Amino acid sequence: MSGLKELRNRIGSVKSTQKITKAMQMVAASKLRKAQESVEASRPYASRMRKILKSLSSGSGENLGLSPILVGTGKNETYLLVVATSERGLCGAFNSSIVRAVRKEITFLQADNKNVKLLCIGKKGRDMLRREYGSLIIETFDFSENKNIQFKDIQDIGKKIIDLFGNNEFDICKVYFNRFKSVMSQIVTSSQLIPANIEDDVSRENDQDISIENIYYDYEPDQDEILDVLLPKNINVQIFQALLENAASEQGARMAAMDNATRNAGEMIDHLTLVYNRTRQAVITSELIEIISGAEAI
Amino acid sequence: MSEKIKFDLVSPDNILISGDVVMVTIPGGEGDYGVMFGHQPMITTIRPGVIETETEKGEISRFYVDGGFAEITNTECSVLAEDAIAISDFKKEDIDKRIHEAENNFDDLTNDLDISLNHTRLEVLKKILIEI
Repeated sequence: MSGLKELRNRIGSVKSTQKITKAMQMVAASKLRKAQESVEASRPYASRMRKILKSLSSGSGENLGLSPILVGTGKNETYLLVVATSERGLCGAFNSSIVRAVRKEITFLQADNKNVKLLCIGKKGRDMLRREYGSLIIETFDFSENKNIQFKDIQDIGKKIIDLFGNNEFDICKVYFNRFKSVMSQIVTSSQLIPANIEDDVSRENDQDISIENIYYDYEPDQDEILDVLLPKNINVQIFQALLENAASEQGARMAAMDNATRNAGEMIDHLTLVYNRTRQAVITSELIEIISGAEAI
Repeated sequence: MSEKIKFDLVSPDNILISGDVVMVTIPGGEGDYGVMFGHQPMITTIRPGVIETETEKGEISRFYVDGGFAEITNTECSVLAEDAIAISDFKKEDIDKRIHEAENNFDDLTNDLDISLNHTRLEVLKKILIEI
């Protein structure tokens, strides 16, 4: 008899799990829409900034190259990897795929005798990297308190990176994040922040709207001064875009993962129900047999 | 006054305004600019101040910007501002808060340029406060 009760309990618990995953999927779906909207909303600013940067660096004269953010330090000894992950789990391979790519990069760089430093955004990535590379992590930014990333939240990260760069703590800076392609696929992407790689930018795929015209601009105050202000801002913008892409990807990944989980739970319930019914039948049959054989014996 | 230019005011979070206007006044880093159709192409920094746009019908809209960049071509004017708000949406408490922040900022600033920018910011905010 206990077998039946256990089965009933099990079906009950799987059912409530299914309810939770179903709810999480729906929450992720609505958050995904919001996240996608903010990615869209951030694009005009980023693409215009890129356009200005491009015209500044291409149409400029011999003075260019003063800013190390644009041209680098001339060395490639120390790498700073910015790892953007999520604050919460239950989103499939979202975090582990970023971490895997970062691990690969670290191994590659270390084999090449380079120094590696890590800056983590989001605690999931930090938790996963801490065991192996705890000594390399120089800073972690935690975004668990604010649900929607806003541009002003990025300022601290950008400032930190620029301060580190100013203190010669690293030569090359790359950011790792998941680019949102669709709900089913998020692509781990690395993008170089320093030296600024204007051609290879966070969302260059969405750049069709910007045509590169050959306009000769006047610059006020002058090119170098504008570049000095613009380049740090550009780092902020790129990190911001990366985080927005990441946020959309996270929700997409969670949606897919929860959809899977819901389906699996459904299959499990079907299976368990079948077993339960069969066992119940068996119990009834054996009870009948007992009664009949008892009656025959009299 | 029939020729129009396309004016965009974008911040990292969204597009605040995008439309055709007759004239835009921009607080540039080196002085104010009145931008009309056929302006010399130019890229300039923006100091904290007020952007004013005028449409064909003579409607004037004003926006407070906290610094940024402007890209001006013959037919377009794009302003990239990290922090921008329409003056009509500006609440008194919000301005007070910003003034307070700006006043406190002086202690942290070491760079001459930042200090003078902060002075400008403070002045502009106070002026807006009086207007409201």
